[in-house]
Amino acid sequence: MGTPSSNSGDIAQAQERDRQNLIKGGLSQINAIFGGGTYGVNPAAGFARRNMGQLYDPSGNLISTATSANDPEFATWLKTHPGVTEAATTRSGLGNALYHMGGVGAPGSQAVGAFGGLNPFNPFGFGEDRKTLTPNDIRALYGKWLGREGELFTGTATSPGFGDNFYKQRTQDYINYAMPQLADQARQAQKNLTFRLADQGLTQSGAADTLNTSLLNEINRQAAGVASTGVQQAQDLQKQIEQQRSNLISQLETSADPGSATSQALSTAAGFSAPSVYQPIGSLFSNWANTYLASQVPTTNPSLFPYLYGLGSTRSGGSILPSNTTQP
Amino acid sequence: MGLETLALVGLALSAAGTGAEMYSSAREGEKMNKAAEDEFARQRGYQKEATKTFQGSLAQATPAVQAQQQNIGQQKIQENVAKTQAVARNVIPTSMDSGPSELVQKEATAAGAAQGAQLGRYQGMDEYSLRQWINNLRAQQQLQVITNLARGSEGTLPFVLNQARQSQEGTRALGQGLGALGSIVGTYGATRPKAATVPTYNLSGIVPYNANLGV
Repeated sequence: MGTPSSNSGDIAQAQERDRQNLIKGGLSQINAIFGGGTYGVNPAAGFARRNMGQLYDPSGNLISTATSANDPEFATWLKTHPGVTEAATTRSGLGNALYHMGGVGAPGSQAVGAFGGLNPFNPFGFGEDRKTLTPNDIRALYGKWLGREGELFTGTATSPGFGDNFYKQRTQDYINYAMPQLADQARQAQKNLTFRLADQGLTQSGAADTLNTSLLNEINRQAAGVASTGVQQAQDLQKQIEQQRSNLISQLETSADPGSATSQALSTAAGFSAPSVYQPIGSLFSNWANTYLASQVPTTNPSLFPYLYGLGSTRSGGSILPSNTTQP
Repeated sequence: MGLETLALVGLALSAAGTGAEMYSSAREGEKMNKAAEDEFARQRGYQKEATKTFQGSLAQATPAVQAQQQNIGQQKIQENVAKTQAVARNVIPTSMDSGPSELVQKEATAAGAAQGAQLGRYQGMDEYSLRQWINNLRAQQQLQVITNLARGSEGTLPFVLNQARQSQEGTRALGQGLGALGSIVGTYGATRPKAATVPTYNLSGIVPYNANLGV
């Protein structure tokens, strides 16, 4: 009866409700940041009581005064929260609150207790121990209540998130980056082939068709490789982002601090949205050139094989082998 | 007040005390049961949510979903391969004098498409694997959050039970006080020297009927 521990159950439950609301609110924000959507920003805790303006929940939905007046959890909190225990347990106090909320009963004075005015968590304002609740007070109390739980925000923001389009674009970005390089190299390889074939008088020949086919196949293979790498890079990124999202949720669970989790989510999201640093794609046709051009030339140009035609030369026969052929 | 009356009052007080204690115990029991029932209801809610999450995750892991996800991956690869191959082939001029003939180009295009389809079938599995991994990770995370909330809620039960127990301490103390008072009064009534039954001597010489004067 009146001992500090007599309402320990109510306090524990109120604190647990706060913690769960913090986690749920933080989850909404993380999901909105990563999955795309609107979310609340700038927590309203400590916000000027009489000038709250428009208020939003963690998902960025506008909270109206009517919502606060009809929120049964708020009335329960008034009754059970340690900061307003005495006010709430006074029937006239709650009646007063209800009067202002819904026009029930008659207005009166709200007493917070002998030391209530010095309680920093006093919902009526620091230093104030008695106040007639006006609709603004009720709204302010509601704001503080929600704000403490990380459920009330003074603004909203929208995140594009990491949806299918984001990853599709990431694939396309890689393709756009790599394809011009591949095209340049393909053009050069084709020029080299044309020159060699023309040099040997083989432009219109079965050998030319074979070599052109092999070059086109190689181009197809390299182009498929670019596409595959682009898709793979987008998938790797998706994996990283999901892992990071999961890490942030774990942090939120442990800390019950949606502010910290949300700011980390935002910086992480911004980091992943920034362009990646791509490495040059390297020489894509060197193997093909070594295999086909280098081996083709000696067999088709007698002047390069003087020793076979009695012309005398210092060239060694080793060069007739493709560079990727193992020599004894 | 007569001694019998005191004893009766004592008895009545003891009975009232016992009654008050029984009442407080009954009320305490009710409150504790209610607190426990409320918590069980909350736990059932968490359990229901967890089951829903698990079932939702299972629904995303059926062979039909697997085939669908693999198909998405396959299409994704094929589309991109077709796009890149077309761009790459366009840099190669087709003419009678130099470069591959149209026939060679056509054959290469067909070979490239077949290659893209094969690659899609092969790499499409990556998409399935990735989506399943994400599905599992999210379900696991969701279950972890639900477990966290359930444990947090469960952790408040001892405090709530303690509060329920303490809420009836006043009534119980009153009962105990009444019982103790009744006991004292009753004991007093029972043990006090029976002044009313002590023989009284009549100074006029009349011998009390129960006095043995040895005469």
